[in-house]
Amino acid sequence: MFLIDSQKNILAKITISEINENLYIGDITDDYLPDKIRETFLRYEEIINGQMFSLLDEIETEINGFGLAVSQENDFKAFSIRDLQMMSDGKISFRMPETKLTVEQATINTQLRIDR
Amino acid sequence: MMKMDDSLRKLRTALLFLINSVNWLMPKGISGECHIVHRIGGGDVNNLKLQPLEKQLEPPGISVLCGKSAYDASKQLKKAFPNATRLHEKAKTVGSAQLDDIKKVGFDVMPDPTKKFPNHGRLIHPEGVSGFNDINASKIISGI
Repeated sequence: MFLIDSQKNILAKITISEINENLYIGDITDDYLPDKIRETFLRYEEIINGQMFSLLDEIETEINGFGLAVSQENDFKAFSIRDLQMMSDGKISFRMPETKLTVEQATINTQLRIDR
Repeated sequence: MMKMDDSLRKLRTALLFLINSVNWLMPKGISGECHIVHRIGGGDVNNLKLQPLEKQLEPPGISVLCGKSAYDASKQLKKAFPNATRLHEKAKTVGSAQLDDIKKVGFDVMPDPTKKFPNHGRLIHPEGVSGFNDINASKIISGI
């Protein structure tokens, strides 16, 4: 699975390890994040770990403004996501309410993509 | 000039403090009344200190969650941030206090709902940043 921007540029490769209802949890195995996005998620992590929740809505609006999505198909069909969280230790999670995949589907498709 | 700015800032903080005290009776986004609040990480003095970004808030303050139990607060937080391992570690300890006890030692909690936490509140002090000192913080801890 890939994290992509609104122009469908690949920003990160993701391995999904757990799906709980519409919550997808995994690891970033490789990333090409632009500095602005990386810096924003570092700030987001600081706010979360510092439990400075008064600042949550503002930074989450900023993150939503990036228009990030995920893709797993070869045709780069984008799946919209919400509540994207990326941590500096490489952990990633997001919610994908409109599409249901199994861990196997996500993993197999990512493998296919990397093999080509 | 600087002293005037400080005085105005303190006056503004005090006014906001009063307004928020009234608002708590009918907090927006929070269903039901809030009698007890929880602070992830427990009631250690260091866990009640303002961080630089929190000093810039109007009024300055730290996050608390309103709810029935410390367990609920911890569970809510882990669900909201499934990968935040550092925060999960902190959430093993939760400090809880009655709103009345917080008020008795000079602090208050203003409703500050967010999309993730409609039960989010902000612990504030009428003196603003300077109110968050070790002496005042220890008064809250003694009440926990």
